[in-house]
Amino acid sequence: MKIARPILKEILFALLVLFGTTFTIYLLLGQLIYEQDAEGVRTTPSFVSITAHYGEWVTDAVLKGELGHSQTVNRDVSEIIGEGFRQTFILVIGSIIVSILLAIPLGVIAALRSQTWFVRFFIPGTYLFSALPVFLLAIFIRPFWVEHFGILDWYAEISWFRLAGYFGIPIIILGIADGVLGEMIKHVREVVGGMIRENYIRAAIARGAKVSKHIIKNTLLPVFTIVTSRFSYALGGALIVEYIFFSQGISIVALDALKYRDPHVLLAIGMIFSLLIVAANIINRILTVAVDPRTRD
Amino acid sequence: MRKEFSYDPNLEAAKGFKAFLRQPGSVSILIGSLFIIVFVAGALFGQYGYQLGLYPHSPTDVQYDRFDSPPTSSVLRTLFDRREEPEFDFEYYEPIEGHILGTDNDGRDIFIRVLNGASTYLYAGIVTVLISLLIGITLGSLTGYYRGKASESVASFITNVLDAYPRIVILIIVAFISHFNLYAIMVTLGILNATRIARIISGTIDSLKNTDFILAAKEIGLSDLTIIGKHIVWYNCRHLLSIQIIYGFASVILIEATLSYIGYGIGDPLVSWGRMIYEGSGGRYPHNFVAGVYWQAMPPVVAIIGTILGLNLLGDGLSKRFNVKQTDYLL
Amino acid sequence: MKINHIIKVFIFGVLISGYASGQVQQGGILTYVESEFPRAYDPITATDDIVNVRMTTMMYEGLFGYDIDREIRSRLADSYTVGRDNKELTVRMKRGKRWADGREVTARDVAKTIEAIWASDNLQEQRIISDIEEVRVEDDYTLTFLYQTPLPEEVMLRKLTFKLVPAHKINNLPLTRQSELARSPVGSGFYQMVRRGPTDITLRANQHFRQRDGGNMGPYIDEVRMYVQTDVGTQIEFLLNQQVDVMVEIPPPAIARLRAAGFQIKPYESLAYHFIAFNFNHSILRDQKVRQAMTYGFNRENALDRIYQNQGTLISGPFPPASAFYVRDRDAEPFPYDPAEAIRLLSQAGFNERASDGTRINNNGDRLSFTLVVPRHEGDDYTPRVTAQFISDMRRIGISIDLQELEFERWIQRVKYEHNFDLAFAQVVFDEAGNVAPMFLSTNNKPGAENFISYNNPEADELIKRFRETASPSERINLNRRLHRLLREDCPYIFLWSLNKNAAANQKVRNFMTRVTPFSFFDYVNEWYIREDW
Repeated sequence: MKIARPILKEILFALLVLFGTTFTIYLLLGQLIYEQDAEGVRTTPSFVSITAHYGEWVTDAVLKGELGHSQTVNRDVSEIIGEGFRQTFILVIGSIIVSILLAIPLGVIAALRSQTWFVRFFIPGTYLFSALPVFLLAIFIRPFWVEHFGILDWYAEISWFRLAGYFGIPIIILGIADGVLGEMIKHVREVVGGMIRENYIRAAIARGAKVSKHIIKNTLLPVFTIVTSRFSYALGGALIVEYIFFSQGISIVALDALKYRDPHVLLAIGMIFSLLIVAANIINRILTVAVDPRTRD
Repeated sequence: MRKEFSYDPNLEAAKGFKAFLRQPGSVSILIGSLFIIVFVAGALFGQYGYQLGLYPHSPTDVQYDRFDSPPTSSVLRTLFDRREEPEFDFEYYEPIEGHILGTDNDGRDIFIRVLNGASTYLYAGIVTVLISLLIGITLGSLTGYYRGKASESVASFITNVLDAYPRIVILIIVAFISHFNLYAIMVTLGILNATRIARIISGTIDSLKNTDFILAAKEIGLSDLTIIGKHIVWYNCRHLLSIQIIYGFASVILIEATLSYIGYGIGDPLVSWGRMIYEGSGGRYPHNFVAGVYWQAMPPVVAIIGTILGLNLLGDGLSKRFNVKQTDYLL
Repeated sequence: MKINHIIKVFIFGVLISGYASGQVQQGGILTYVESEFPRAYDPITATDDIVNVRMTTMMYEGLFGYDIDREIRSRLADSYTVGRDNKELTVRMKRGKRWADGREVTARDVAKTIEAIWASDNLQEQRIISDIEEVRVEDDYTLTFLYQTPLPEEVMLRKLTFKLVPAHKINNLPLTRQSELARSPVGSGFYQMVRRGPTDITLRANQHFRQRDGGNMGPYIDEVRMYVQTDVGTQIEFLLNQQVDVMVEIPPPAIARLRAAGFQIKPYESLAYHFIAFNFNHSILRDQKVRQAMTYGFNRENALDRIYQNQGTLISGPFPPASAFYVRDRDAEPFPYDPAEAIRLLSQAGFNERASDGTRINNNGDRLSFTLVVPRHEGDDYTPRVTAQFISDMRRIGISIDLQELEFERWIQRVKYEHNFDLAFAQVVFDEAGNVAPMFLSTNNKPGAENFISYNNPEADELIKRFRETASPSERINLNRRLHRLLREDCPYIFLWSLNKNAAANQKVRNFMTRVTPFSFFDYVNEWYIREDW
């Protein structure tokens, strides 16, 4: 009960943020759209007309749940986006799982065996590798991927191996690159390093009790905090991966919408993006509060 | 939240290089700084080398008689020139004396182009970091120091709005609007990077606000500006900020390269490493890679990796030196 | 090694010619790959994008169409008679042609189509039918067209090359992309759409077409499937891995590789040309000598060769090199690359001295320094290289160019509406009928019009006016050739090149593109067939 109020506050604030983001995007888009008057003079729409248009869209979205219609692709926005997001979702979730699966063992090893050569050189190497942008890794792996896994015919039979490679390789790239993995490893290393210095853990180790389960349980939470706080990075990376590997999915839809001036599509994508990120923030907040009730205010 | 960091008095007293090396993270700082010094020197040479007559080739001039020439050094050729004599009609170009790293599709010298790209990033990095510091510190002080309801919620609203979007999307839209202008990209990225700085500042202020020395400073009658600027930002945040500056710098390189690679980055005559990688691989159809021509794309790739490595080492070293935990600047 | 290579090619050639004479086969699936999804499926709202056009040509049919030599050929029309004063044309349509839903194609559909084109905002289609004043439906299969001015017979027929839409499917005008027809097409062409997946579209042969013609005129191939794959590199891999049969446009650097792998490569003209436009509102650029100097100073041969792998032709005027209007004389060839001549012309124009940065200046202190406005298209790897070379070439002759890349819509705004540029890189589609009035007639310089350079040359105006008034084909050719010489000399643009595109196909696609016209890739798809055993 005590936790409910701050969360409610958080949600209300998140809604406000949602309006803020979509309106910002719409204002920016307004600079790209031209309206032609009767004399053939083209101007960008005024602030008032942008606001009015945005208001219409929001009312429709909130009251009727309609995200509008795409002029250029000639379909309902919700339909296009539903299609596009499936893949993006697989990518983002998959990449998060990949980075967690890699980060926890590596971070634990780094903390427990901090003086070995493996940790001294391999772990900083991992930091560097993970700091590289997605596209840099992708362009070197793409030729291999195209040769072995580039599936085209969804109506023919596809082997599981191919399907795994088709999604797996981009997911692994996304999980490794863009810095999330490096941050996670550092974080786990710190948490585990701090924990093994605690007296009760030392005592447990000395007594011969198994502490690995306890340690992993304690690292999970900070890892999830990173996941939620870096969620927007994963989404951004997913766009690049889609652009380079799949040429379908939400990033292509978004870029096309930008190219063909399709504000409704972009607004809807923007809204879902910020919805996801805001949701991630709320989860992050709840987790923090759950761990340390002092931060409730 | 504040971490007390105290120096070993012996270390503080001892002078010289050895003493420096004995402090935590010094090796990383040293190697990282070396990389950065090379980067800065390269950037300056890339910008002024041709103008001052130190290097015979310009980064932008298309030269007709020297397309696609491989590097002169045989080591680099074995590494990056993987062309085989193919079945189909293919012209084989010979290396030309004077082009250390070879030339690209349009006969431009790759060596000077990579260095010129460094100057683009150096400039963009400095401006972006300054913008983000300015905005971040202002916003952070507002939220932290003046804990009034209004200012706090406004500032926190702004940071939340800025964070609630993948930055690459915002940057693509801005690139569209601004005609792929470097300044617009710098300003936007500066604003986006400012949110983390703002959080750091407000967090620190939060934890220090009721400490004795701040209260004392207030008693003496020091102005808020002095307290925030000197006692909080300078004395208590500079170690955190220095790491932020380094990562902010890295983000400029990474994001601009990504933008350029997907075709929304800055255009000629500014040189971008992302664009060089894109063109060097052959474009949408990477025909250079297919044919085994790697020397056009690899130098900028190596440059990006080297710079990111340097910045990361420096950042890591500094955080070890100042005993900064991840948690300090992540949240 | 070389001899080995030649032998391989020779043997290969023999093999191909052997198979080419094989038996025609009925059935099979043809797959092709596009970079984008079509955005509309009717021939009126879908003409803005080549992807849409390619798809709609398979599904819709016109009264007349073009063949490989761009001669007019009747499609749905049976015969025609030219009426009085070359202002009237009576067309009798073939009987028994049916829409995909089974209804018969009648004269009323033609009248409704023209009405729909006028109601739409499709300037391109409107330009095709522009001179038709009135359509009279005589009976179910006979129509009379009245033209505003007397026209040559061939031009009259060109006006009737638009594709027909079914009148019974049009409920209200104007047609938009929300209309039923734009979403679920019903045509009278060879194929009809049967499935639209997230990344593919399947077309199946039009059964009514088949039944009527007993398989003679109808297509051999049962099913055409289109896949969408944005990335060109991946597209080529798909082609190489036999996952698709046809790629409509391959990048020039891939030609050699695909040819070596045994694919059919068929070049076709893009029917468009690139140019760099001069703004005539700029006082220095109004000087013909400066414009000529810049044309001399740009190494276009090299750019075409290096950047486009020589897949195109240098041009010296605004007509397609293959058309009758294009002058092929030695004195009308494109200006050669001659920096010395360029510098001589600049000196004549008064730009004798150089500033400290190497830019030429004249006695008044005017610098030869211009902004070049270039549209940036995502995935266009060539334009940045062309502009880089242009800037570098201009620097050599003492002209400094300030490059501004704009996103395409902004480029249109800046160049076509605001006329706010010195030089602009642009691409334009040739007019088949040879009418260049939109670009060069001095009165077409309003915001949004095609003469965005404010070109004003009384001599050219006169030639264009006479061209529009005359009906004699030989006179028209004569006038346009004079205009070509005039424009070549006057350089309102730096005419660059007209590019070839290349299509690639698997060897199993036989009779591939034996008759292709640039804007209707699949116009003669009915004559292609698949031989799995090639």
